[in-house]
Amino acid sequence: MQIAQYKGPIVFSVLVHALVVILTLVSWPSMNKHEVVPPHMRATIVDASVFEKKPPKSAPAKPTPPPSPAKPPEPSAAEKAAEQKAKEVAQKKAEEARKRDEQAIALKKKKEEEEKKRKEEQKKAEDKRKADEKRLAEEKRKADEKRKADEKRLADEKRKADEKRKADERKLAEEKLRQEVERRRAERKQAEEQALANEANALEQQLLNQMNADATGAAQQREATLMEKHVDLIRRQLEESWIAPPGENRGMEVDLSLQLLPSGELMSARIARSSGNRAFDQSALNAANTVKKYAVPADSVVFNRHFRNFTIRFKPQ
Amino acid sequence: MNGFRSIVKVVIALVGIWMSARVHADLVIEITQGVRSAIPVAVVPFGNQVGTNLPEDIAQIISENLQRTGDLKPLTRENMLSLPTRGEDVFFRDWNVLGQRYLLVGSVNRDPGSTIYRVRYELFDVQSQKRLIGKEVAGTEGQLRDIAHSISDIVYEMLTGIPGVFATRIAYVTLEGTGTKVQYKLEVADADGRRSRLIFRSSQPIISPAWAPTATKLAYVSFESGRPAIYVQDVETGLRTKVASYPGINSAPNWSPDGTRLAMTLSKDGNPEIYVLDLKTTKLTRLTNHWAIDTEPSWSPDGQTIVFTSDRGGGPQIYRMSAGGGVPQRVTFEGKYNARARYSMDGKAIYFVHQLGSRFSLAKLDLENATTSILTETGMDESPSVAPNGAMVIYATQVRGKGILAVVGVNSGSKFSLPALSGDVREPAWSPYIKR
Repeated sequence: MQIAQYKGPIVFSVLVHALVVILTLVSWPSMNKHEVVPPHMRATIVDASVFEKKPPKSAPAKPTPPPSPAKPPEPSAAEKAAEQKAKEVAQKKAEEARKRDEQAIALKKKKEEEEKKRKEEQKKAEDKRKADEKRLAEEKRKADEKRKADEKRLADEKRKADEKRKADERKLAEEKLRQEVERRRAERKQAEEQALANEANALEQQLLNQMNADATGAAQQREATLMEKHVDLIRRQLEESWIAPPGENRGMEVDLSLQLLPSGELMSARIARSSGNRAFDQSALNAANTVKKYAVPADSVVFNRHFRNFTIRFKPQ
Repeated sequence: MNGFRSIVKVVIALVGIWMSARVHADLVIEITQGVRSAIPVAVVPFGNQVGTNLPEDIAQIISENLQRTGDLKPLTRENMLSLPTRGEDVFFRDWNVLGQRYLLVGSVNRDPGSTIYRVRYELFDVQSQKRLIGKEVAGTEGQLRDIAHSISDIVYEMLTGIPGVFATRIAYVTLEGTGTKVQYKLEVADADGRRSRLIFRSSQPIISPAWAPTATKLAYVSFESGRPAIYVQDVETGLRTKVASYPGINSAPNWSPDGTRLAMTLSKDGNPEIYVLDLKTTKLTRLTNHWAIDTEPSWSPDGQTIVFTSDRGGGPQIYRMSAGGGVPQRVTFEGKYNARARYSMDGKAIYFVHQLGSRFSLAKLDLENATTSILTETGMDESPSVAPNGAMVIYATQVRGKGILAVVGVNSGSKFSLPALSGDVREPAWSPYIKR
């Protein structure tokens, strides 16, 4: 029974999954057409511009121009002064010669030192230039690398974004499909549930009818017995309470409508059909009011059905 | 579509309501018998707002009246828990506790300087606590008893459906003295035996008083002339007429329902036979012709038939014949003595004297199913006379050798002796309703 009940949903579920696969295969390309949906592109462009602006910010400062080489000392002037001086002081040859020698040596020494210094400086400059060049090259290389890396990162990011977008779109499509499927499934489920509910209702009704029919047997039998018993009790109560008017009463008949509380107390008694004889009617009313507690059944269903309102008929025989 | 659907719904709902109503209407409990007992009713002493003592105890008169019927059972005063004189002062619980079904309260008042009494009274259903009657009647001091009888009538009819007869009268004959100083008196009193007044007095026997349907005249037999003669006398004016004084027996007068004729027993033609005398034309018609004694005729209420006593069957038995004569049919067969029949007010039964062994009792014969029931068994009961409401029969009986009047309730079988009237009382006749 239970399996049979789920047979429908299972079949439906299988069908839905199959439908999902088919839709995925058949409809996916067509879904790709929507790749260039402007909103997505725009989002991408915005992102890209952000990335393009970044590199200048993060790029290293432009390489400073290499420093100009130091000027060589002015030798000609110094030499000229020195020679003139030597000629003027010829008289003092020895002295001067010696001095000259000494000076020459000093000069030579100085010259050599200067040369050496110049050479050192030259070398230093060269070294510096070379170092600068090398640094520059290095920086350039680094910048290149960075640029390349940036470009690569950018490309990666773009690719990733593309992928993500594509994935998103696919996801969206999937989601849409899923939702559609879900919706269809829900609809189907609802329809099935409705059908099931209808069936259940029908079944319940049938059961109820059956029960009612059974009630004709057991419950109604019980109710009938209960009723008979209490009708008898109430009749006896009334017979004991009713002082029939003196004289001939045969043929007289009065109906009273009684309204009782579940406690058996009388709420109201009124003449529903008069006997035409006021005293006879009055005796009935008096009897009905004399019963202080009517022997009504405790069963509220039976009480409500039969004893809340009923008729008593005084009909002497 | 929606409209149709809602209509269908409404129809279904209505059918449901009808079904449930039908289900409720299904239960009818039939009560085919009740308690055959006197209805308990409390008659509380009426309040006196006059200031001076009243000459009559109205509640007492009412209470005794109701008691005498046997149909109601007034509560004795000693047992009352409270003495309300108007509805507002009634605690129904008190009376319910005492098992009372109905309650009568009232009061007597008199305006200053006036001689007119105003009697206000209320009747309550103790069980439902509803007021059934609320009235005021007025009268002079001398009418207080009449007022009490009138209230009794209304209460009795309210509770039994039978008109009260408390304002009617009874006629009867008393015998006083012994030997040669005997006095026969024809008297008329209230139905309760009070306020008796003399109609005719004689040293010779007076028998068989009979009321005219108008309740203003009495026919009776007087032996005043030494032999029986039938007289008709107006009870108010005293005017007296001799209507039958034939040779032999003139006895047992009985009025036709229309009051124009008298049936009677005459022996002028040999032996006692039943005759009818037209009072206007004085024409006499013989109804029976038999060698046996035919006497004590009684007209049926519809005037169509007459029952009488005849010993043509060997002993006295009751026969019935057409009011115009014809062949009598015997109606009593139980016992060897059945006599002095009187029709019930509905004409369906007769009351008569029935001998049971050595005793004479009152019996009732249902003419429809020929069943006889014994009403009294005191021994010397005679002269039944039916009250105009048919609910009571007055009769003469004897207590310790002295004649008294008693009343038996036809429905209840209860008996009640009228208060001791002076002398030996006999031959009662209950008057028809008095038309005022």
